Amino acid sequence: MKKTKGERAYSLFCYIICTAVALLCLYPLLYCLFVSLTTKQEVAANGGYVTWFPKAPTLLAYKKVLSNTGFVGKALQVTVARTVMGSFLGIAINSLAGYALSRKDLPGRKVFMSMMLVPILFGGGLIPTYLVIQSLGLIDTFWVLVLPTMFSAFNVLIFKQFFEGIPPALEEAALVDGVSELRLFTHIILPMSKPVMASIGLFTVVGQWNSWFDGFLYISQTHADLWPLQTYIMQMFNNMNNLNNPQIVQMMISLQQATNTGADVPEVAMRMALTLVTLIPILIIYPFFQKYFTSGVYMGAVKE
Amino acid sequence: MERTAAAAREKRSVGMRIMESDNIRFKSVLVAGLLVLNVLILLFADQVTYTEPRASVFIPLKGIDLLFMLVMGQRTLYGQAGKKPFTIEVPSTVIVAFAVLVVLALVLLAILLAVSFGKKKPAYAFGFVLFAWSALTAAYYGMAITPSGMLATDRMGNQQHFYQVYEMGLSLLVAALVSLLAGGIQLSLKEKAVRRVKRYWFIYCLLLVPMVCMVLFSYYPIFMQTVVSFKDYKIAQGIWGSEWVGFRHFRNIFQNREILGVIGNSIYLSVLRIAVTTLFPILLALFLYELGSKRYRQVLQSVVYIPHFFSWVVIYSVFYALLGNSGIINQILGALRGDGTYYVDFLTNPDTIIPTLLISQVWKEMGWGTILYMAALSNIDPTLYEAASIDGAGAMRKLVHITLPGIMSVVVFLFILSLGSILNNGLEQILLFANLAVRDRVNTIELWVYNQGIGKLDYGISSAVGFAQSLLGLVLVLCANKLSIKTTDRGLW
Repeated sequence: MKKTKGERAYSLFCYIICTAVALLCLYPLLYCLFVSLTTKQEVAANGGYVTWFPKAPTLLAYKKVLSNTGFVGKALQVTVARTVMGSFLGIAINSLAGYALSRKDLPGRKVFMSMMLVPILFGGGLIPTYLVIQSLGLIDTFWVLVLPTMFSAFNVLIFKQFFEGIPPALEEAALVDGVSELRLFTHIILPMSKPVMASIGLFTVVGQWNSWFDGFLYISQTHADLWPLQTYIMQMFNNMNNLNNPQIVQMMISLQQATNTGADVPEVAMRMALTLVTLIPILIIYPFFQKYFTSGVYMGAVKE
Repeated sequence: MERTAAAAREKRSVGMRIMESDNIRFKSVLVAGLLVLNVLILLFADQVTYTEPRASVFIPLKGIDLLFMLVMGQRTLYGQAGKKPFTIEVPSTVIVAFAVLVVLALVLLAILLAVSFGKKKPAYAFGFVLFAWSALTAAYYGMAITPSGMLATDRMGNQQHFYQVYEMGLSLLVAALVSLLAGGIQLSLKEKAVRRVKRYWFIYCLLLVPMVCMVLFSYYPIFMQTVVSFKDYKIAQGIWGSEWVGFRHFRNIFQNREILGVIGNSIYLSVLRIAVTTLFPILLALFLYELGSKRYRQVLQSVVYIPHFFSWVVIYSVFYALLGNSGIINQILGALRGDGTYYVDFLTNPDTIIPTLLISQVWKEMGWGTILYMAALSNIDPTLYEAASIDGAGAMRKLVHITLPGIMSVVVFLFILSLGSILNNGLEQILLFANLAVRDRVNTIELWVYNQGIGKLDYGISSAVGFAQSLLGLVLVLCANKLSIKTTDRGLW
């Protein structure tokens, strides 16, 4: 089909716009990388601005951030632990619940289903949730990062929808053959549900890795060694509001000591180095799970 | 021949009857088991706690302690505040009411067992009796936590409302729920379904942990929100001992200028947010759709999705680098001005904070927002375009007459749904961007609730605002859903 002049112009226009948008998505990240590689001297030489390109790139900021093991190391451990546990437990209980609710002749199924809808439509709000967490004795513990985030009614519904797509004849045949329910799930259902497991699994992992607010809200500054990495970074940026907090001040001092030894890196470089360190895992797994969210499993469920 | 068939029929019906009586028995055992659980909860879980948070005096009383008091005829409670020992009297209403509940539960259990293991089968009406027990328990619980004439004396000898002296444990509520469940099973579980219940016992076990999580972390907060919204929370008195104030907090919402301002702020911000997060993804999707090379389009798509997977902390860091004093935006503006000296911290400037919020929102979600539109676009029949070309239609006419109608229903659906969230701006982004310099400009409902509740420990009003927000949000979402079904035939469920 031949294109008219107007169509060609429009098509060109679209190419330009889309490329520009993609660059706008990438450039800020690149810029953060450049910032993390600059030195103080360079900033001073450039009239107080961080340059477009560092002329003498240095990994000093990364070395300093990563060698500041006191807090960064601890925070990284907490983040990894919560991500592994939260994702594993979350997927386990949500998929099993979804499987249970996908059995159409389960007596009481309707009651369970309507119970699941309530948390999606109506929330308990910030303060009451805080009070509940407090009354359960979870404040300032590691478990506050895992237990409240495990269950997700939304994920249960997505799992349920996927399992409903598996022909019931398969299950019946297996049950007639005397396969136990547990084996039915682990040997027949599970191998068939790789796409939904992978997509929800990866969204859960990313969500756990990215989550900072629970650490910020439920873990006070006296237990700062339980902060996940994202909360830790958030507190670093927030330091202006935290100057009278000894824990934060100690953190700042240890970072500054690291900054002051040897060649100088500006504070902003340290921060960008820290930020990019948290981004690396996301960027690494992104190509793998891109396949799954474009395959439509997740979004298909969202649409329903 | 005929006789053997009749005999077989006879045998089969006997077998059916045995199975049926088995089923009835199983159901009775199930209900009886729940009732036993109920009695155990009543006896061995903490029922009431004598509390004085200020003096950190907490003396829990189990059901069995209360019964013991009744039997021994003594009603005194020994405790210690600091080094001073004291005694108080437990109100007799509590002891008696509690004993009545336990005795009733035991009687019900006895009746159930007697009837089901005798020849008769328990009537469905028994379910209503269980409901009645549940209602009685809930009523008693309600009386105990509200100013209803139930009085108690604290250790100073002051007579006060019961709830101000004693804290009710949640176990009574749990018992009421268990009884409700038992009644529900008795009423609605048909004998034929019992076989399926037996077959699915493993499946029910799978639901156990999720249900517990859901009740603890979703339902319990909702209950707490309802309670605290109607209380004047004082730390010294604890949640349960604080005074009930009725609808005072809710009236305050509509009279307090600060709160009204915050609501206005919220709506203003979310109208802008909805506008940009609706418009930009649509435009981007239309442009992406027009790209001839499928490969290039896929590459661009995966690039623009990336920021969706960053946390707000990361987004804030990125904007901190871009917009700070030493950032590239200042450098560009300086270069444009010609003298290279432009140092504005956009993040602490009240005039630029709202654009910053919107731009960061768009940067994070624009690509991701195109997914549903791209799906709708890919469903458009390509022969429509060929036919239009043959008819001599240009790019503009194809866009207006084929492409836009093709995605219109998705656009309207998502737009209506986003209107349902007009009261919610989300806390994470605001909390990060709202430093002290700009806070007044972006003080949304969530941020206000956060500051009032976590910062100033003013739990009552902040819970009430949260409650009103959730409730209005629910109404809005339901209306939006209905409207969407009416206009586009698409609903959330």
